[in-house]
Amino acid sequence: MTTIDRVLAKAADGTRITPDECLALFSCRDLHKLGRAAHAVTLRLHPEPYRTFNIDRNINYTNACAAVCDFCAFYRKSADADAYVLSREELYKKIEETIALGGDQVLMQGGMHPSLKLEWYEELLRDLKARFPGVNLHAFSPPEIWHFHKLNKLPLETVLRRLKDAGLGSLPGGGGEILVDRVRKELTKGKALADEWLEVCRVWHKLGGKGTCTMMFGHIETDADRVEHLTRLRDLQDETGGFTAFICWTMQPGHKMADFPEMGAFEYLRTQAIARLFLDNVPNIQSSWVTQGGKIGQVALFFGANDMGSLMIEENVVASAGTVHYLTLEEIKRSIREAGWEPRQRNVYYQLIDEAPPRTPIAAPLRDTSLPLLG
Amino acid sequence: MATLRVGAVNYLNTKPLVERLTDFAPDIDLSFDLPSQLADQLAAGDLDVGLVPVVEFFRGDNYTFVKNIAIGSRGPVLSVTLFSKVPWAAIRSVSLDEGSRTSAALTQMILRKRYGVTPVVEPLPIAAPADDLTTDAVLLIGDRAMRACLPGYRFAYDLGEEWTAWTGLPMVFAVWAVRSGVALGDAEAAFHRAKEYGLAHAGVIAQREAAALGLDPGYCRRYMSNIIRYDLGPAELAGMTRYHELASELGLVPERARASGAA
Repeated sequence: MTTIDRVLAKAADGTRITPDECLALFSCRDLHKLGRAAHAVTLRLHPEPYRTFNIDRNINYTNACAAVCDFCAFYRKSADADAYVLSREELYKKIEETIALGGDQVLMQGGMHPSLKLEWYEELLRDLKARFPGVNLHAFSPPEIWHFHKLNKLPLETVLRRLKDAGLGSLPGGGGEILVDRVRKELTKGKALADEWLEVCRVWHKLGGKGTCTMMFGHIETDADRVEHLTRLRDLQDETGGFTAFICWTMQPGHKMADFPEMGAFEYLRTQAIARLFLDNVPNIQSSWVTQGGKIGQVALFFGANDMGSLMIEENVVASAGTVHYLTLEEIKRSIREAGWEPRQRNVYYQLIDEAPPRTPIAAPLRDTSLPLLG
Repeated sequence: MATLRVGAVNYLNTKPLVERLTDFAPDIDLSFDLPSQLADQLAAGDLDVGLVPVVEFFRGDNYTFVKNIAIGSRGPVLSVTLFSKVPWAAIRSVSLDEGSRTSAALTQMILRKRYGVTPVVEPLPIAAPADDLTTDAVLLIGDRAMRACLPGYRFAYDLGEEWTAWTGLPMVFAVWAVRSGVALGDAEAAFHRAKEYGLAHAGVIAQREAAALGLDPGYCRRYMSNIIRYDLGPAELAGMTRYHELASELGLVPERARASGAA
């Protein structure tokens, strides 16, 4: 039995693996072996007959950003002609459309706007919460929160408490990239460093808040950097238990890195499988079909994912960098069904919020050409 | 009618094409071998029809192919991967798995035509271990990739995905090549019926094969019905033609304009 096999058996049985063992897994190129072990973990954690998805809208309330990230084609400087801040009316309209489509949440992220004060955000949240009390405001990635803390010269806890009181529902895990400062300093300027990103999450969790965590890989990081990233997430999760899910994707190169070749499906599935084996305390993993396409997004359900993520009604950041994949609600449901599970809509806390479907045996069509294909 | 000697590879992705082939055409004599062996047997006249890598089809002497059937992908293929220590454009040396001549040629096309680099090429014999390599990049296919331990090779590029991202076209990896002068006759219909049957029973095949391969049956089925594609329609033909153009520009195949199906 090789070291790899021993580590896989250990993880599949539910025993925690060490960072060194995780590093050994990253040297393994046997995609299917890794996938099988990850799937065993998924089936143990999620024996239920369904796989979940949620419906939300990704609203970028501003594209003005105080940070500069080499891979981001979305951000603008606030003086740029095409810099914007969405008006309230535009926001209302987007949220109304989301509700009409069965959505229960909006994901609101910037831009780290260089001058908007905390009061502006509090007002925004209060206003939206008063109008749409049933909609969860999944908003402000940790780098934005850190930016509010610096800009307003207020303690982090004060910032988060005030936002929570104003209606902030949960914290998206954006801007995590790789939580290793050497990597962050090379890719980004003016954006929260690893400790700061984690501190935002820690304080939020201690206030009783929940959120997701992410990893964007396939750029300048080493295997050891990935392991460090995953280890820091796992350690924080041990401490707070505040992460509901983990999502990872390959960098979609834009801006200064437009010519940087994107790593593909093989590396995405391999990395997600290893993350499932290592993050034994994170309950859910979301497939990243938005970056990988429907076909691989579905296959991801056999490589550690138990959730199809969101029917993204709108996506700007990935779209600015190039490839973006769209699925309709029916396509998401069908891809879950064809993979052998019932599709169920959930909220941010992974509670089912749809009508339980009638219990009928799943009869997948004999052939399908319905999933969108690349190209 | 005389026996038609047909050769195929016995991999998961070929199963749907050969599942009931001999039932549909009793005069077919079906044998299994390695892809490169099949090409050699077809060239030597020891086979009449072979499921050969597309590059071997182009190297063949006036071969035709069975229409509308291929093994290909639109986007990721998950079993043909270039592992690299550096991004594409920085690759200066590459080891190419001799087990897949189509993918080896494909790797060279992407390096030379898309990224404008001409690295030193080192063949990696089928029996050689893939560990302890010193080249910047290494192309590994199927099982070989799975056994390799490649610390330091940070980048993994899925060649199906790379091809489609570059050309916007599907990638055709293999076709049923027919030796010049061979008349398929009634057997041609059998290839199509076998494919229809195989795809309709992908679930059954997946259930049967998954355990031996150590794969999840659900995944196995998705692999056969979504990742791998068996059609050879206009888009695939365009992909095949583009592959041929690029391969002949690089001197990897003889320069003959051709992509015609068996009459």
